[in-house]
Amino acid sequence: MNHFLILTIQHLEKKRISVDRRLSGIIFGILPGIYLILAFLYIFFITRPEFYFHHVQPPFILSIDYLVPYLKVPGGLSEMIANLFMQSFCYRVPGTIVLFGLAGFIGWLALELMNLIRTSRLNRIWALIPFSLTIILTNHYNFPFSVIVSLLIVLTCSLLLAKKGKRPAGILILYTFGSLMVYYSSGSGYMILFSLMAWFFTFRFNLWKSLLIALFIAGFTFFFCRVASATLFPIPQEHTFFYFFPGKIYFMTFEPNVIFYIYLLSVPGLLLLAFIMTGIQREKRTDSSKKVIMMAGKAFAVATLLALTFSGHRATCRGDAGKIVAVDYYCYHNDTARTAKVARSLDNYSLTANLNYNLAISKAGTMTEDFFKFLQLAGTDALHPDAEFDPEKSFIAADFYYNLGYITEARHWAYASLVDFPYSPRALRILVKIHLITGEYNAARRCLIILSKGLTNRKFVREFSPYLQDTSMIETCREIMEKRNFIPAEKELTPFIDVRFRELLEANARNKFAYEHLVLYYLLDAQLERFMELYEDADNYFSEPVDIYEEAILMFGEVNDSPVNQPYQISPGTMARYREFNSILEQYEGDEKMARNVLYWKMGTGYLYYFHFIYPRIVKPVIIYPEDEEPPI
Amino acid sequence: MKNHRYSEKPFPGSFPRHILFHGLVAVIITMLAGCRGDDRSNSEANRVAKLFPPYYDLTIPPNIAPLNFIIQEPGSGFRVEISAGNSKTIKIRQCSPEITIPLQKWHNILSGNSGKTVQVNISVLDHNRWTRYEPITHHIASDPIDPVLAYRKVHAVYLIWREMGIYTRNLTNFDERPLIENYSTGYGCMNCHSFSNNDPSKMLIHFRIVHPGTLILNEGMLLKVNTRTPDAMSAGIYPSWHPDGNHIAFSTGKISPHLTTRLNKVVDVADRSSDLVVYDVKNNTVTTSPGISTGMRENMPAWSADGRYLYFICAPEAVKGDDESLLHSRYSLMRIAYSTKLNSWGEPEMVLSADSTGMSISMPSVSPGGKYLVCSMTDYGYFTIFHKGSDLYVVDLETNNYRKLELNSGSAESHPSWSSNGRWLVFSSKRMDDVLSRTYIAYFDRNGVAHTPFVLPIKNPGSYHTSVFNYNLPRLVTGRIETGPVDIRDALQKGSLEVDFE
Repeated sequence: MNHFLILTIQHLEKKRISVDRRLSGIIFGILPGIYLILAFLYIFFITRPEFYFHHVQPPFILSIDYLVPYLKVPGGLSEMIANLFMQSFCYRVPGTIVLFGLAGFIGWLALELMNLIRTSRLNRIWALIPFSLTIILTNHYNFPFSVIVSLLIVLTCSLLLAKKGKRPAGILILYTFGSLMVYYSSGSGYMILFSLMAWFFTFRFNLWKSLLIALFIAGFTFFFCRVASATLFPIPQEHTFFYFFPGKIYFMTFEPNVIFYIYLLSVPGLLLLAFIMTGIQREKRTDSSKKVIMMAGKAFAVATLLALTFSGHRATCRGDAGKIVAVDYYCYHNDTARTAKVARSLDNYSLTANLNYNLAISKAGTMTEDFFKFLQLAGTDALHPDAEFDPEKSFIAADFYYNLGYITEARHWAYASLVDFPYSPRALRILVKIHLITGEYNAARRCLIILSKGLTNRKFVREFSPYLQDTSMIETCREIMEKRNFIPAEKELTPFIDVRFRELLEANARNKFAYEHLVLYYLLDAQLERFMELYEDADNYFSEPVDIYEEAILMFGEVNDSPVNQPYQISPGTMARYREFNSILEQYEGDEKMARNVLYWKMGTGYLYYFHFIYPRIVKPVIIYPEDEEPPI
Repeated sequence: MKNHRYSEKPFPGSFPRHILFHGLVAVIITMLAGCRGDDRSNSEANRVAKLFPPYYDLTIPPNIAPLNFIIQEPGSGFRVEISAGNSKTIKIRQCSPEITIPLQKWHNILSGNSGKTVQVNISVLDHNRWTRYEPITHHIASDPIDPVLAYRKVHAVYLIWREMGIYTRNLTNFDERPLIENYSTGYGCMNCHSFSNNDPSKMLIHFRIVHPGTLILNEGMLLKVNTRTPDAMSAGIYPSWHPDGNHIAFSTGKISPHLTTRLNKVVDVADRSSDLVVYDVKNNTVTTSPGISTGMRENMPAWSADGRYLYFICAPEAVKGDDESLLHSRYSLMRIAYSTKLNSWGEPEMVLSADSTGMSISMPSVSPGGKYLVCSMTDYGYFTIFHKGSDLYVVDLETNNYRKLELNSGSAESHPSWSSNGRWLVFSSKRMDDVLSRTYIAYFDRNGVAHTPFVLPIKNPGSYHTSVFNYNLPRLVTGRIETGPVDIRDALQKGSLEVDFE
C-alpha cells in the first residue's frame, strides 16, 4: 500500500515537474519566440521603416565633407552610424531586418548584463522590455535613431566593463576609457547613463572599495562633462550634462515622453531588479513560498512587458501623424490610389495630406475628375503650398511647383528642403531634374555626384547620368523638355497663386496642369465669373464634359439667376444630379445640418456640395501692415 | 604530436588563405603593372590635360598651399612632374587621377623660385600608351598672400538657413578651423565677419535671431554690443573698420528678401531704406551725419586707406508702393569726408554715378594703397550675389576711371576684398556651377591688372563636387585669429552692451 502510495506520489511529482517544465518551456521558449515573430511583423506592418526613412531623409554619403563634421562633436559618431543604419530603411524588408536586428542586439546585451548579476531564465522576459521599446519608439518618426545607437554603445561598453572589470583597478581603467568613448560617440547624457551602469558593477567589491569607485565615477562624470564643455567642445551649454540627441528643426523636434525615459533607464532598472531578486533568493524560504515567488516573478515580468509594450505603442503610435507621412510617401512614389485611400482615412483634416492628395491626382492626370473626392477644407490654400512660409512643406512645395512647371519656385523650395535636410536624396533628386531643365548642367552634375556617393540612389544615378554625359540627349527626355517649355516669363515673383497659374498659362497655353489649377482656384474661391471666362478654353484640355465644371456652370446660373442649361449644353447626368441635390436641400429645408449629412454621403464628392457646404467657411485673415511697414515682397 | 605546419595532408586547412593571399599579390602586381605601362610607347597630345579645378597658367602666391587637382582624362596611370628652376622636381606616379602634391616639396619649389615659373607636366596612360600633354606653366609671384582666409560656410540658402559657421583656413596648408559654428549657439544666423586692415586681432561678427548682437574682438577682448540706438532703423548691418582700428562704419536700414522667376537672379534683396552710422569702439558711441542719413538709400560703407573718406553706395529713395523704385534702382558710388579725431563730417561727393556707368554699384573695397577700389556692378540692386550678371570692376580713385576686371566669368562675382599688401584679391564666384559660391584668388599687379583667378586650393578637390556649402564673404587676414568657438559661444551667452548715440 505504502509502496503504491509512494509510486503514486512519485508519479504525481513527475507529472507536476513535467507540467512545470512544459509551462516553463512555454513561458521561456515559445512565448518569447511568438513575441519576437510578432515584433518582426509589427515593424513590417506598423512601424514601416520606409516611412521613417522618407520622413527623416537620413543623410549618408561616402565623402569626407559629409563624414568629418560628425567626428568633431560629441554625439556625432552615433548620429552618423544611425544615418548609416537608416539607409536600409529606404526599403521595407531590409529596413525591418535591420531594425529588428538592432532591437534584438539591445535585448541580448540587456540579457547578458542581467545574467552577470543573477542568472535566471526570467531574464529572457525582462530583456524583451528594452527590445520592445526600441521598436516601439521608432513608431514616432521624429524619434532620433541615434538614441538607439547610443544605447547600443553604452550597453556594449557596460558589458565589457562588467565582464573584464573584475578588480577595482580594472574597473576604474575600463570605466575611464569607456566613459570617454561614450561621451565622444554619444554625448554627455549617455556618459551619465554609462556611469550609472558602471556603478552597479561596483557592488561586487566590498563596501569601502565600492564607495570609493562610485565616488570616482560620480566625480569623473561631473568634472569631465564640465571641462569638456568649457574647453574642448563648443557645445551648447544646455548639452553640458544632458545631451541625448541632436537638435532638429522645429517641425522635426522629438519631445521626449515617459516611454523615452523608461527606455533610457530600462537597462539600469533591470539591473537593479536583478540585484533585488538576488537578495530575495538568498533568503531562506520553503519550497512552496519559493514557487509562489517564482510564479509571481513570472507573472510580474510578463505583465510589465505587456503593459509597457501596449502603453508604449499607445504613446508613440501617432495615428494621423503617421498617416500624413504615409500620404506623403505614396504621393512621392506616384501611388495615387494609396495616397487617396490613406488621405481619406485621416481622422482630422490635414492641409499637408490635402496638398499631397491634390499633387498625387495631378501627377496621375485626374486632377479635375478627383479633386472634390477629398474634402477641400482649406479652400485655395490647398493649391498653394507656400501660402504661409512653412519650411515643413518645402518638399511638397518643390514637388508641387515642379509638377506645374514653375521651375524657379521648385528650385527655391528644393534648396530650402536641402537646408533642413542636408544631403537628402529626395531634395537632390529633384534638383538634378530642375538643373537639367534650367540648363545648369554643372549644378545637376554636382547633385548627381553626391547622389552617386549615397547608398540608395543607384537606379536614379544610372537613369540620369547619360543626360550629363551627353547633354544633347536631354531633348529625348519628355519630362524635362515638357517642364522646360512651361517655364514662365522672368519677373518678380507674385505672392498670388492664381497669378502664378496665369503666368504659367501665358508662358505655355498647353500647360494643362496650370489650366486645371487656375480653374480649381476660381472654383474653390467661388469666383464663378472668372471660371466662366476660363471655361471657354476647356475644350482645349478635355475631350469629354467635366462634371464639376458643369456643376459650377449651374451654380453660376443659380447665383446670377440666368438659364445656363441650354447655352452650355449641360449633360443629362449633371442635370439629374443637380435636381436631386436641390430636392434633398428642399426636403431638409431649415435643417442644414441634416441636409449636409445626407448630401455628404450621396453627393459629397462634387462641386455642388463644396459650393453649398464648405465654401465660404474658410475665412482668411487680411493682414494689415502698420503705417511704416510694407508687406514683404 | 603532429606539427601542423608540416602536415602530410595534401591540402591543409589554410588552403583558402593561400588562394586569398596569392590572389591579392596577383591583384597588386596587375595594378602596379597597370600604372607603369610601357614607357617607350609615348605620344604627344597637342593640348593641355583637362584638369579640375582648371589650374592653367596662373599667377600664384609663393606661400600658397599645393594646387591639388584631378586629371579628367581617361586613363589607368597618371604621371605628374612639377619642376621650377634648380629645385628638386616633384614626381608623382599613380593609378588615381586625383593628384595630391606633397606639401613640403611644393613649398620648397615655390619658396626657391618666387618671381619665376613652375611647370606642371602631365602624362596619362591609356590602353598601354602614355600620352604626354602640353606643360602647364604657373608664374610664382614674389608677393605673398596673407596666410589666413576667413569665410562663412552656409548652405545654398534663399530665405532660410540651418547650419552655418565662420571658419578660417590656413592658406599655406589645408588646415581649416571653425571660429564659430551656429550649432553651439542655437542655430542663429551669423554674418558679416569683418577685420580692420586684415588684422586678426580686430574682428567683428553679427549674430541674429539667437543671442543677437555684434561681437567685437579687439586685441584679445571679446565684447558683445547692441549697435541699435533708439533712433536707428536697425542695428548695424554691413560693416567697415576704419584703418585706425577704433571706428566701424555700419549701414542701418530695412532690407527684405524677395524671390523672382528669373533664372539668372532667383533671389534678390530689397533695400527699403538705409543710412550709415559710425561706431566708436573705445567710447561705445554711435554717430552719424545728415549727409549719410538722408531719404536716399546709403549702404555698403568702405573706408579709404587713409581713413579720411568713407565710401558708400547710394540709391534714390524707394517710393512706397512702387516696386520699380524699390527693387530696380541703381546705386552710385559716393564718399564723405570724416575726421575721427574731430568727429567732423564733410559733404557727400559723387565718385561714380549710376547714370554714367548704366549699372548699379555694390560691395566697394578700397585697396590698402588707396589707389584702387574694387566693386561689383550689376544691372540693378545692391545684393549682387544672386545676380548672374554681377561682375567685378576696378575704379582708379585718382582719376575716377573704371573698368571691368579681367577675372570675371559669366557667373555671379561678388564680395571682393584685398590682401594686406594689395597684390591679391579674393572674391566669391559662382562660376563652378552657378549655384554655390566658391572663393577665388587673383593676383592684382602693379599696373592694376587682375590675373587669371583660381579657386581656393583644397586638399581633395573632389570635395568641390560634394560640398553643399557656399563659401561666403572671403576675407584675408595676416595671421591666426586668437579666439575660438568656446570663447565666442561663452561671450555670446552674456548680455549686450548698449551703445550711446552721440
